[in-house]
Amino acid sequence: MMNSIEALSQLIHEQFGVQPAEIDPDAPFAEYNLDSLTLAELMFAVEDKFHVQVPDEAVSTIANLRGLSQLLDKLCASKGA
Amino acid sequence: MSVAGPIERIGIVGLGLVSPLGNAAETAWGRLMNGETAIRRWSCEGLPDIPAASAEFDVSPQLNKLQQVGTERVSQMALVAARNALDDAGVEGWEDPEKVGLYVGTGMGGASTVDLGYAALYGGRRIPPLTVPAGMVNGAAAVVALHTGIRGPVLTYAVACASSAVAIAEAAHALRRGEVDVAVAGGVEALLVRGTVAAWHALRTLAPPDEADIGRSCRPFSAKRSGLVLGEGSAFLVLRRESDVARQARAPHAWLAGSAVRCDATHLTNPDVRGQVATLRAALAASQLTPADIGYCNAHGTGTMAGDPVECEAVRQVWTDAAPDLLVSSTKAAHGHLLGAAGALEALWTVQSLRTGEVPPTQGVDDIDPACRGMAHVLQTGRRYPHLRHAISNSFAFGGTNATLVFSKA
Repeated sequence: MMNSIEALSQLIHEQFGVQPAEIDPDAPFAEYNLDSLTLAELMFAVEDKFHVQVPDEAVSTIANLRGLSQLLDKLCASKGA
Repeated sequence: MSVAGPIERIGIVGLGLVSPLGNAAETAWGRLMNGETAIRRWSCEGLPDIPAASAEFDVSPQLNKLQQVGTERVSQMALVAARNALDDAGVEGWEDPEKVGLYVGTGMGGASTVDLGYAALYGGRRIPPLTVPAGMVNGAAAVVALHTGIRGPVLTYAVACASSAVAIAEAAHALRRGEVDVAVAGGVEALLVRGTVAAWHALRTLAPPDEADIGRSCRPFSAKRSGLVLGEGSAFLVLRRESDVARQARAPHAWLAGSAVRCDATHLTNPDVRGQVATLRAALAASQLTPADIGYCNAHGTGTMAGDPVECEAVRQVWTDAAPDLLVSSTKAAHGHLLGAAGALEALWTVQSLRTGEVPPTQGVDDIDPACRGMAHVLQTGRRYPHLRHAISNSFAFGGTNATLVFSKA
């Protein structure tokens, strides 16, 4: 099964046309041109795709893809529990 | 009040469009002159079929998928049309971006974002996060500024069907005041979405489909007219002062000689002869022209029972003895009513008329209601008129605001 970083890269590609190869999980989102508005869209898409509820503050506290994947893993785990 | 000297004319140095008749000015003009129509059957769940005129365009050469986030249909259309106008004007960059102004007319702004957002919400789903910035009425102006680097006044005029005529008039004033050195002015409308069309349908102003020939569903000035046909699209003009144009190698396409904006102040939707007469007289006075100087009137002519005779009566009252010689047509018969973008698209046709010495027709109409007679209606196909020197474009809005633009041959 795809890990969450790969799944999120794929989602970013589908939503915004950013190539997965351009995405460094530890680089700030802004490095590949995802701004605050794009992140709001991304969180919305994450909720739809993974059936989780991303806390509102994530848009300002999550700085990169690795952070988002860790949050997603946590949300999925707590959903499964 | 003292009479000032000659008013400085404003040069139209570029034009661009996204329209139901196409997005290249020359091609769209050819179709209009041939009496072609862009009105087609439009179907939507929950609504009866209506005639409408939609516009096709491709924004991908200008915006990648990431840049399209929060950039809804109306903003994309405006960007493509504005870019076409800048290309036509030969603009590659700005000498002083703070001395460039952007003046955008739109009736409903981001109608599709608002429509889809509320549909989601009322349907038990969530409203998308960018509904506010994508749907706001000044969204299109903001997007055009963002991607063209215009950093002077960036303004939106919401004056219903007169929006973009008002925007062009205001841009010319800003140039004459010296507030800006270049103005990009026009309008955009993209409201062919379920909720907005349903609202228009409920008002009972829309023409039903002409089942014999759907392309003839909008019949301005005809005794058989049955209402307006909605259209979508965008048009922009690039404007500069005459004194600045004189230093350029290229002649302008035409001059904006003057304009006027007045309000009926009588009714929310009913047009009013007195208000339109006042507007026409003021526009001629501002242009220092007389009725006999004007060879062509691109009429507001929406094709409603109430509207067309009022406009014709206003023109007859102002033109008096010169009325029978005034060529008149409504291009809405071919491309529908673009509402907030109508004034800009029709200004563009008026400029084309002066450039080419041709007058476009009210296509699909072969009879004139007695209440609309007394002028030289151009019907079916366009007409050569090489001696055309001056022409006007009328835009009369719900809310009572009337705008008339006066153009002169360059």
